[in-house]
Amino acid sequence: MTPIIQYKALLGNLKKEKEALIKQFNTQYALDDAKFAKIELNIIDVFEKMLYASEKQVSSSADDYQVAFSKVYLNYFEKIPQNWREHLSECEAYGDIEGAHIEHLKLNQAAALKDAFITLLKEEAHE
Amino acid sequence: MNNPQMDMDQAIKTFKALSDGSRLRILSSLMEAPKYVEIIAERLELAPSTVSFHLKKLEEADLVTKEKDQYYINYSINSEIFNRPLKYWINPEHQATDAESLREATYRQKVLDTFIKYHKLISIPVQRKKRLIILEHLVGEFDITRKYTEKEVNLIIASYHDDFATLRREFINEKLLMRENGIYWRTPKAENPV
Repeated sequence: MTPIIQYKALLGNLKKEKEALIKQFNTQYALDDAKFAKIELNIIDVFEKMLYASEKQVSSSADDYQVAFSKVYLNYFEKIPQNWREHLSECEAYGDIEGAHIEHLKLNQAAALKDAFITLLKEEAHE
Repeated sequence: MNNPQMDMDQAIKTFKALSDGSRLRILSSLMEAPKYVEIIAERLELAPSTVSFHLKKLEEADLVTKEKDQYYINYSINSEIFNRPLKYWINPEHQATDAESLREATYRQKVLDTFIKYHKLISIPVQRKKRLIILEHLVGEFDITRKYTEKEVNLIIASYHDDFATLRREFINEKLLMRENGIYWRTPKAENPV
């Protein structure tokens, strides 16, 4: 199984986990945590969409498809969180505890997805 | 001085902080013993960053306090807040009134304990405020529904203190007893002493 296919499966599993967590938190009346889990789910959704967008951008007949694809996809991990970093600075400057926490969650989730993707690429490279 | 808007703001902040299942679980955990973030996160199976967020909300609402240990920051329940009755949050002025009433009742009892021993008045207080407390207590010996001769009034007062004349005069001055043609009776004011 290629890293990209493994990564798609990982994203699918992560989304299911988040959905279960949201349901659990709602049952416990932990409404803030349910909201935070929903935000993390949205981030996973965003980078899943970018995954499919990257596939469309890279020709399947490209010489080294995986490298070309990875370059396009990983670039999204640089571009998209930039706004979140700027908003985080604003929230911290104004003492917006919840706002800052949300931006942290988004940045951490994005970082976790990026790490997971890179790990899958490295594992294949070592095989 | 009470600031009603600030009191309302604090009440809203407090109830919002409490209206979350995770924060209630954190408070419940802290009621067992003070804890730091990582322990709470482990117990409640939440991310440490999420626990930190909740603790900040609880701290904003004055529900928890923190203290730096050697390596950690320990969080504890703010007992003073949790011991407040619910009605304080609805209208803090009620609490202020209750506190004032409690202070007055405490003062009143202290005066009675000081001046009355074994059903005897040790001395007639010089200070009017204290004297009034004693008179309001003694007037309870008179039945609100009947009238008394002066001799009967004197006997009742004398069971407490020899100077029944002074005390009888003070009862009249403070309108706790009324007098007409040598006949005495308790007044409505005396029915509900402060």
